[in-house]
Amino acid sequence: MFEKIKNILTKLYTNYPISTIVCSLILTIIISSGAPYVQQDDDMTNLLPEDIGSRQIFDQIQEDYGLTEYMYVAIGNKNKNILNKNDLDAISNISNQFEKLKIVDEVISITNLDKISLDPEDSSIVIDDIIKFPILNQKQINDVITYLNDNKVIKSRVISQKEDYANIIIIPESSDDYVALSNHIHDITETYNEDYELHFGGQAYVTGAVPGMVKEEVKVLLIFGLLLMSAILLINLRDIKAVILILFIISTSLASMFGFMGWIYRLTGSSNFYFTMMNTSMPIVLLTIANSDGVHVVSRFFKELRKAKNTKTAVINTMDSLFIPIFLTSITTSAAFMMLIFSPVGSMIGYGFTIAFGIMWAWFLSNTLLPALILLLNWNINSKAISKPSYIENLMNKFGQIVTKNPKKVLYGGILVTILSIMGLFMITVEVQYTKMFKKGNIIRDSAEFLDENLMGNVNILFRVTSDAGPESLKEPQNLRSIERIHTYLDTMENVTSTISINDVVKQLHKTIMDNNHTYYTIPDSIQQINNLFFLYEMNDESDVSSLINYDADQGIITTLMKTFSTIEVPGLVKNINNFIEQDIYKHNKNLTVELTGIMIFIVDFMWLVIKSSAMSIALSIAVILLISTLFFKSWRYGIMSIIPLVCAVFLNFGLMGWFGIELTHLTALLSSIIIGVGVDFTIHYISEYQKIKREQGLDNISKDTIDNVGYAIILDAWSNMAFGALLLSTIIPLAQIGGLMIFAMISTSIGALTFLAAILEIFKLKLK
Amino acid sequence: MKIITTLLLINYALSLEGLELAQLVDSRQTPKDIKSINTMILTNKKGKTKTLELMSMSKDNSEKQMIWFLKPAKDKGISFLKIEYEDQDDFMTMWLPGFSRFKRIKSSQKSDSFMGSDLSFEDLTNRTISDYNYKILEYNESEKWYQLESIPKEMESEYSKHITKILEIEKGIFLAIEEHSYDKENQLLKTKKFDFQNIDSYYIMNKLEVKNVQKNHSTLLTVNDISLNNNYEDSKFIQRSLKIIP
Repeated sequence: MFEKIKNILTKLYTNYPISTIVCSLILTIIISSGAPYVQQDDDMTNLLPEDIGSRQIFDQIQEDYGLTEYMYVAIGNKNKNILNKNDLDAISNISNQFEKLKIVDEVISITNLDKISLDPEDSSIVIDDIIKFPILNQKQINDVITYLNDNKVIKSRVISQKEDYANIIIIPESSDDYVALSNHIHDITETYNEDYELHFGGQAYVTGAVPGMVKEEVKVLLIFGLLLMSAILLINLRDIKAVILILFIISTSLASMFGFMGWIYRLTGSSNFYFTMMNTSMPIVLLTIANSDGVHVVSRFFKELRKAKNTKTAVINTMDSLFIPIFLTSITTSAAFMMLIFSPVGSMIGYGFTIAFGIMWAWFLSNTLLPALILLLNWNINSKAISKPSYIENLMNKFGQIVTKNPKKVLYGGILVTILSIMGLFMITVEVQYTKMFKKGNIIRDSAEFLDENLMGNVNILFRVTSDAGPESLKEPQNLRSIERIHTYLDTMENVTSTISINDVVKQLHKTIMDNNHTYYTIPDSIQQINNLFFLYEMNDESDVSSLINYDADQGIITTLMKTFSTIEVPGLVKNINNFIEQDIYKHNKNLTVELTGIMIFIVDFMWLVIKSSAMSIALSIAVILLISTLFFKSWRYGIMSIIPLVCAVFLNFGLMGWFGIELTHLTALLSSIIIGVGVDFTIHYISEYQKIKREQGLDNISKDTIDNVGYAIILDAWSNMAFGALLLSTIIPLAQIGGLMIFAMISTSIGALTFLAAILEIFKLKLK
Repeated sequence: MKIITTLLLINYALSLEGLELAQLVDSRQTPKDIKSINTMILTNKKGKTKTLELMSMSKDNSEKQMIWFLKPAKDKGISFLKIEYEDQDDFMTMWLPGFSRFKRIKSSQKSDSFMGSDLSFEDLTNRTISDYNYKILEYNESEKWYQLESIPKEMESEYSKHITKILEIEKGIFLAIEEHSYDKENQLLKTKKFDFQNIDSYYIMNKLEVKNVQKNHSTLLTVNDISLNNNYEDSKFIQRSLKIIP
């Protein structure tokens, strides 16, 4: 069947090259025209599967109590007191502008904070704005300072310890608005940049700002990588036409891939086909794979043209040699990516399908458009590019001799490196700390560090406290006291900056109604008193406890504001808290259930889910490659040979991460797909060529000739793909890590194929059929 | 002929000034005092409800009013006193039995919610006719209703205007049956619907439905067990009376 397809395609591009070009381009244009339908989704939380337990609690909390993830804007100047008319006016202006945004639910700042106080004239409780604008005199400011000094907990939420920065807390209307809101807050604060230092943070801000930042960096670095790749190809191929041909195949494949994604979304409406932050690596993956097809065809064509001195013969010989290996590499890589359908992350399923299509389209174009274009172009047989082998080709010649002469040494060397890598696996740490995801100087990292040091930190943990004694029961004094014990425990934790719950309101009201006597900043003794306080508070037009306690008053939430911490600390933290709840709460209060959640908690669950599913998809991909290779090479031994370098490369990659302290995250775990996707190409090209030579020439000099024939293409492919090491320049550390690991993956898979695989095949050549 | 008659009628209706209409509504005969048991159902935006029961005693067209909470049990005993004055700020206070304390409600807090409902203290207070500018927006001759716009003059109010549907239920008796109240930004804030019951020739409001359209929260007040003209003395409407449920 493959022979038939090959013959049909050969007839097409040799007899009707123009028609072949026109038809393949028309098809490409039709598919690419779906690109405008690609739907972008920047909300990172949408990536997280909904069936993670901690996320379910989190989602219910968002549904019942409103959003718990905030954006923070810190404004001020170091060591300059902010509590003066000019600065307060500026903060008020900014706060008002934020409040006017329809996508903002609430803004909390020094200038619009609620003040619960006792009117000395008639002992009435007044809930009012802390400052009335316009500020008319210093007395107003002094009153604010007195109130804040009297209420340190409230003060710590809106003013830095040295009173030189104010914190503006923005509660978004919906998590869908994070991206738009993070842009708006930059627009609004831009005019204050000259007079004030501004810092932005909070989980909602990071969620909103990062996707745009990642995309922007990927866009720039991708262009840079492409230019670098073109330069590498030009230096090695020494022919501009050849480089343009490869780039043309790459770009048409890329356009088709996005077109396919758009069409599928348009036809199915499936959110799996949204273009999310996870999909930003898609162009890089396809570029490397499409580049591989183009490089193999062009470099082989040059080699054949050197021998045949005739373009048509050279093209036919090239495609005759490469039809099966390119088809096989494409089908195995597509199959490997299709294994992402088992991913718990919806967008990764779309990712797998889309890349698989892109790879197969690159194969189609490499077998139709590319040979037809090569045929139509004029090639100067006497040019250096064609008549003389390049430096890498010469190098491969020598390299082949070394491997052939010392296969055991090469094999043992490979085994040693693999064993060393396996040792590195035990040193791998699984960690996400979002400040560490950005290099120093990046706005997110600097702002997060500032907020940690001077204000409330950036992250939070949520507790849902439920009383099973029915409506209104959470207000019982013993339940509020249990919440108070949790408060006290949390406040002793190192990273905790503040804890917020309904108790804050109850204690503040209690103190106020008892003539502002600080000794009454406590939970009242009787339920009647507590109910009276709630009654009083709920009367006020400004009052809103819906973000702290539910309507039936049998459930509430405690929000713990924290400095940024690493996911590595989460399991210990959760364990300690659960122990405390078990020992100090449940033993004394059987009515309460305390559940723990928050983005930090379910990111850990999510991260492990992705890592486990990545491990599963690696195993499945390797199994699928083994199966396909066994079927195509008609030998299970060759099937095993094709996966050995892949397995070693995966060990090598993750082992190296362990040795060099690169954290395993849900982002770096995905790199395994790239390693397998590209690595399998090298091994299949090698084995196909090996079998071809064995069929045509026998076993004499087989390894040397194989390396001689495909080594150049493999090295050039790997070398040019290393251009995407440009990602190393990214200020976003996971991107830079992917860039670095990409370089390493190219080296390990290409050298692995040309040494490890070559040595095994050389040693066992007599035993292999 | 029909057209001429209609034009004449419209002319008659429009000849009634807004201020006159407001005065006609205000001049409705009311009993000396009213005692009732009221049920208040509060419904939040998620459709969850809370039911409160309260006893109300009022005098002089609610210029003096006392309210005691009967249910839910947790709020039982909380009570409220309001005395309206023409030449000074109204007096409003609450009794908090848990703390054995009174809490004054300042006139500046009139926009505050009355007992967590969609009614503010301002809604509970009689409007002084001279505090508003009036304009009749529409008159429906066949159904005998008017649409009256009331814009606060210089008084402190949470509203920028009210548009009230006034029905001439019988000759010379005008009842407000529906009202749309707008906030300071001229956005619709609340809608109110009133039902009346004729008891001893008095039209007594027996149902009030208020919806805060901005908060998507609503309150249904049903007035039951109404007894009229109980001859309550002015001396009954004092702080001390709040401490004991009658």
